[in-house]
Amino acid sequence: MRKRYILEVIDGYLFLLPFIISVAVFLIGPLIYAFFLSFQNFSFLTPQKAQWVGLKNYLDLLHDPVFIKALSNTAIYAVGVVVIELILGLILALIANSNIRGKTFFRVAYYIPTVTSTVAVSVIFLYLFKADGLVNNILSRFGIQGPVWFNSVRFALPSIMMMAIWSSVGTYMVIYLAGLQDIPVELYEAAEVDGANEYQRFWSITLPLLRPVIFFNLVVSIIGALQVFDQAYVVSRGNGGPLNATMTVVLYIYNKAFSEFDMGYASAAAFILFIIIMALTIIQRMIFKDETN
Amino acid sequence: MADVVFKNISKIYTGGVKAVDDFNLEIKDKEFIVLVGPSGCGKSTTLRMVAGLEEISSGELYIDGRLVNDVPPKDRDIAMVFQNYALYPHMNVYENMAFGLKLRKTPKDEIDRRVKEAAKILEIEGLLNRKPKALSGGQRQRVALGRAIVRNPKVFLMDEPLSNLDAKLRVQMRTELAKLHDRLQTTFIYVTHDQTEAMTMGDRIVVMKDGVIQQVASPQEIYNKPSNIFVAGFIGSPEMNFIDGHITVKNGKYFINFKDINLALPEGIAKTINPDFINKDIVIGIRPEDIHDEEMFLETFPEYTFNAKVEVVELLGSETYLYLQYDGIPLTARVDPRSVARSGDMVKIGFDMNKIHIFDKETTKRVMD
Repeated sequence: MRKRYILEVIDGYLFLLPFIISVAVFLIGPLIYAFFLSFQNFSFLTPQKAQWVGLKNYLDLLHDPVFIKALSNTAIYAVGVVVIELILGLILALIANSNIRGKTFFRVAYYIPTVTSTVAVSVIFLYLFKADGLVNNILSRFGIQGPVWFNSVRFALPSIMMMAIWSSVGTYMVIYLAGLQDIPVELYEAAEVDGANEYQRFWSITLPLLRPVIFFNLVVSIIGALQVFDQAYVVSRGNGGPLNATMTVVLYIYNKAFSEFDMGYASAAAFILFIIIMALTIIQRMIFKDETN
Repeated sequence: MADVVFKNISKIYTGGVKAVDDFNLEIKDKEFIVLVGPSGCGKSTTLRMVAGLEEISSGELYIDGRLVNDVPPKDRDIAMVFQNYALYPHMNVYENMAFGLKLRKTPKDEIDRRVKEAAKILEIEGLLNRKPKALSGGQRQRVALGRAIVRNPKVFLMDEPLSNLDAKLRVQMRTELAKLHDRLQTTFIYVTHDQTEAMTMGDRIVVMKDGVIQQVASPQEIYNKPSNIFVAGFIGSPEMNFIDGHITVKNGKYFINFKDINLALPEGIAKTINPDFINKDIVIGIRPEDIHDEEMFLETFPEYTFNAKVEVVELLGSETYLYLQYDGIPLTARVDPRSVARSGDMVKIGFDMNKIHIFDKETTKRVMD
């Protein structure tokens, strides 16, 4: 019996081996190495000069004004994008789930941006929001002098946020839609017979039963928002400008690592982001305890 | 407590499917009425029209004298129990039952009183804090009933409420529902595809097929005088035997004839038969329990007997089913378990001619009183 059990276990791990190897080599390995690097003064150009610096990278980061700016930009971006995305996604899903005409068209229309490359989307937005682009052109017809959007310290980050919302709200809509269609029709009928009007049915049936889906969307969108990179990179041509207005944490890490080749410092920044995401996820899990099991 | 009146109610879905066709019925106050029929017969649609969950295509529906065609469900003063219970999964039992009252702004202590009273009637007092997923099927069923009871509605609507329960629990709940009806003194409209439920629970039964009412009558009458072949076959288990044949008259005496068999009809029965159908194509119906193989019967009524071949014998303990064949005609007999018939035997059997049913082969309608 015992021998057979051991053989079975070996069989199982053999099947898992390709996955274990790839994860170990391309994910866990680099992760551990990055953690190790974060305590070193390490440059690609001069790896032989690497030296152990303890927590210096971390301490320096906390006093680095650009990193602090990147953190605050990312936080503003995350809060704005997550809140609007989740609410807008739900509204769109409710529309797409209702019995209006042409709902299939709406479902497709809202989802298309999601399957479009973010770089392509960013380039299109650059054109739309150019100083003499389509958006300002339309605004000028109403007598409004549009800003220079991506080149304005004030509007650059909100522009990126709009773009992000536009391009990813479809994903959340689709997930909400699946959640909405999972709610049995009889529950609405029972509530209707019980005397609930449409508004009451939304608050007492739809929303509570959608909680697991809302939780899922919240986690995914927060993690996504904190890792914002490509839109900021394309719009600012990699420098996080104007005046670091579009500098995000991941963009900062990228620049440190691959422009300045300061791998130790970049690794430390990456681990700070990791800790933030981890902490937020743990807090969410505690708040939505019921939904996670 | 209210009567429900259907006047020429029809339901036509977009695409022209007629789910309910010219439904006319007066349900009396405090009556327990059962709509029964095979799936797709329109019984659930009819119930949903009463609930207001389905629009009425044409006709008029009155609850307690009020025309309710355009009244939304919440203002109809009805409560409904759904087939899969439709309990709100995120609310506990108490909240599930209180929900309808809360929406109606009933005072808190009144809600509490009513929920606890209903819980007591249904013996679910110990479950009030549980969520539906922590309940068994039978308990969920009770909560669904409780949700309806607390509302104290004029009409109770039940859409196959027992079909998700196991057989034993179903039998138990059947009697409990009947008791509940006695206790609440409210009009019950109950939909089922199970003819046993219909027979045991209803004051009156409405048998439906393809959206059309086939017969409305008490369980006894439905069973003893089915108005057509469909009703005769649908109600009763095992199903009634049907045999193509004729009615013949010889020297003023009536006979039924099929194949080479001629069985005399008792005078009392003969009198009730519509004489237009003499020598016409008819269908003879006889219930399995009206086919006998015991000595006593065969000796008393030798003119009702003939020989048939036993194909299969099913022993059920309290009774025995004989699956017989006579010249290509299959017959099912429900006989005393002491019967000695075994498969392959030729046995003498007799029809209880006082219990015979005769239908017009063409219209399938009953042609006797």
